[in-house]
Amino acid sequence: MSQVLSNVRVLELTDSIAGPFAGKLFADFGADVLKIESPQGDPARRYGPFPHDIPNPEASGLFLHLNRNKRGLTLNLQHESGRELFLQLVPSADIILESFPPGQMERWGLGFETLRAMKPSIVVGSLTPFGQYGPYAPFRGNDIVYYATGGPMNATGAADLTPIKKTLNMVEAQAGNAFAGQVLAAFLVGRYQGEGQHVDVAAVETQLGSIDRRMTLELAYQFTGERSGRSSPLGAALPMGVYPCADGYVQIVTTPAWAPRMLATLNDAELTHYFQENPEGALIDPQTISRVEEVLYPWLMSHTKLECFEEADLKHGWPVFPLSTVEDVMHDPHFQALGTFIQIDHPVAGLQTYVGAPWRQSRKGFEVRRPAPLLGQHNAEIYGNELGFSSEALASLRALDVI
Amino acid sequence: MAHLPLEGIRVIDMTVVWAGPLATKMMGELGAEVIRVESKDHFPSSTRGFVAYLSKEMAASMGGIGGAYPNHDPGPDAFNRSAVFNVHAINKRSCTMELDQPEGQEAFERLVRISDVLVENNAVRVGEKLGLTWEHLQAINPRLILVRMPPLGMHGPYAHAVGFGAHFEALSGVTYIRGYDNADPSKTTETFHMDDCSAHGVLFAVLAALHDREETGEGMFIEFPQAENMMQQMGEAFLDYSMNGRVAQPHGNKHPYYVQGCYPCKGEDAWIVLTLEDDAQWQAFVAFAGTPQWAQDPRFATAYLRRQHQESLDPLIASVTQQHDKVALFYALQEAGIAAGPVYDEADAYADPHFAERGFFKPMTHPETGTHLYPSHLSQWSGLSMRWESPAPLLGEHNTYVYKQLLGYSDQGYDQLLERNLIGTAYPNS
Repeated sequence: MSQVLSNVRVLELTDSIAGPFAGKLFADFGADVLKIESPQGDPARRYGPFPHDIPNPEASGLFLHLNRNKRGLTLNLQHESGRELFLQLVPSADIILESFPPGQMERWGLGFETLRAMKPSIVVGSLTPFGQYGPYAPFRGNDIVYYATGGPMNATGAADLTPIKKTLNMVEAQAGNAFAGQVLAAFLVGRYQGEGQHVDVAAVETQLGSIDRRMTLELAYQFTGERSGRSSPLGAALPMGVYPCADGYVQIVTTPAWAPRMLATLNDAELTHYFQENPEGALIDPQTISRVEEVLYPWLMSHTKLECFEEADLKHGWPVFPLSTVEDVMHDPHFQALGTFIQIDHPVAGLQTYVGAPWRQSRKGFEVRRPAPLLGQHNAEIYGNELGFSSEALASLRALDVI
Repeated sequence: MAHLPLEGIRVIDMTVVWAGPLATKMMGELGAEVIRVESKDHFPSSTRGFVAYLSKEMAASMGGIGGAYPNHDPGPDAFNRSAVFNVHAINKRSCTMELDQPEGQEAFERLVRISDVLVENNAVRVGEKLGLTWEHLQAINPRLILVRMPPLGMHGPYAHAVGFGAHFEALSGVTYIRGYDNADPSKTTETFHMDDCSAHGVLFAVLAALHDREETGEGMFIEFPQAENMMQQMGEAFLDYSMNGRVAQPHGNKHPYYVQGCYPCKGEDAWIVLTLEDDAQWQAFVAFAGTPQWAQDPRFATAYLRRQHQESLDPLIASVTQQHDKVALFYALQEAGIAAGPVYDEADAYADPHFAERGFFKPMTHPETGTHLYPSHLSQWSGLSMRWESPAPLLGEHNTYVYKQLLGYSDQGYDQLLERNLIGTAYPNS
């Protein structure tokens, strides 16, 4: 089946999480993504989870998820023959994704100007912690650093505890998510105007320009001189935050506009009367929250998290949502109905359940064409069949640790 | 000389709150003409602020994002002055159209006919009511790329659930594992990560669809279920359940394999994060701390053991970090090859020399709020500069341009719409 990016080839030189997340978006929508690993393999192969917790570089869950739909090559760029081999792939490529320290590609003789001289429309996307230039360009970074220095970590968590990061590797993934969009935009210039671009994305800036409060709080600071802190960013006299219920926890946000829906759900005559008496004042009076919580807590404790959701949100439009566990989510009737989870078979990891399509299209949408590649799985296919290396030549490259 | 990739592309922006608006903001930076189609009769909460009009007292009491007006003064038309809106409406234009009126539908259809992309993230039912269905719009303009962003998709038992990003994060399994590893989940404040994921996903989807349209001449419908898109970022947790039946638990700031944390620095509410991934970084830290005896401690001999004994190691690390200013420590640790970063608030970010040199914050002058530094683009290109042209539009600011110049309304036709209160520049109840 043809997909929207079927006629696009991406050389993925990045590893671990952020860069491969970007590559996954291209691959999920049809691009021919050639994942180029060092002969030691992507470090994500060494992160788990592994089936039955037995470490195996061919069966890392993180790697399998991020690299589905890609073809895998090994190539040692430290080696001059490796760099020569890489240059032979460039004419067939539209996009190169890389995340080496700034200047590394140039030192290898693989800088943007060199690549563009070979292929004028080439787009090189460079994703680094702090960008290609500026005083911090050589600095290191990762998920927690991006969120601390770029994102609103200062405003995440409780005032009496440490600031807290987002979970898993979601900030790394998000940097890759942002990177993918910026690179695809540049690809349109390369493809339709013939002019290649070097795209500089600083992971920390993907957080600084993030709509998860950060951008808004930045302008708010410009407007008022106030810095954000670890309290609800919405700030109000109405219920906000995570509350306990009969069998777990729920997330509540109540804007002033939603107060009537809250009252309809709680259905308490006295509380309703309190709001009717002083319609605008009640919404901002600091006394209000304790009045509401007197009614809210008993209501929550007499309902399960799903009952709270059904009664408050689905019935009355007041957002009270369950804090679902991964297990809840994978068995949730809604996600079952949507077909959110799919099964992919892999020669080593076997049949496993993955989250499927990021979005759906009326045509040419998401498809699983292949599981994540084994290390060097497509060396013969690409170097042999496509570039015309003989099996003897490949054997000697292998002996030299080039592939 | 090349031009920006979306020059000549017209985007109808019917987005609300944060997720949709950031997607269209990025399209504007990439050269698209982004026209916000807004209703002046129905104020969309949380978009141009939380409420259309409010007193100075109410703004002050709301604080935070709700009170984010210049000097806390919402002014007579708060909906034009809110940081919530103005930060993401850069480069956009605004017209008003009442899609629940036949005249509004007529104007809307004319606009759809001459546009390339339509992005909306209203509730599913609102979209249907306003005629934003693919069936309807495809018939008007088969080259249109329509993006609808229902958080939970168009179908299924919860398709009509109402909420913010924070809610769908809870339902998708993020919030439960996002908490502290040593405190109750109720200590977890909300994030709006889904909104940010959606913006980037929608940009990608639209760009890919435009690429396809160049070759096929056909538009398409993109159903963008925001929760499922965000769940792409949790792949390893789902696989751990699939492989081992393990249900992910909150892990706070900790990393599964090596020592990582957020530690106090000198000063009030001052913090640094750092990671000690391998032996070299551990030894560099010990050298910086001037505590060679730690390197001899068998509990800390390998990355695995250090992680196993993190409860013992954390206070030692904190005893070092709290002697230093967070920024000075950031430089010193990076110099030693350790990935570290200060926890920045907004003032820190604006004062930082790196972001200044990269020009990340750019000035923009808005007619009602004045000149401020705004966060700008997420990438810099070798051959092209992104668009940075005009401030957030006032409600209906571009009505004349849209109706007369784009849609071909006569002066008389336009005046009639004005007289009949079908277009305007303010919400009711002023």
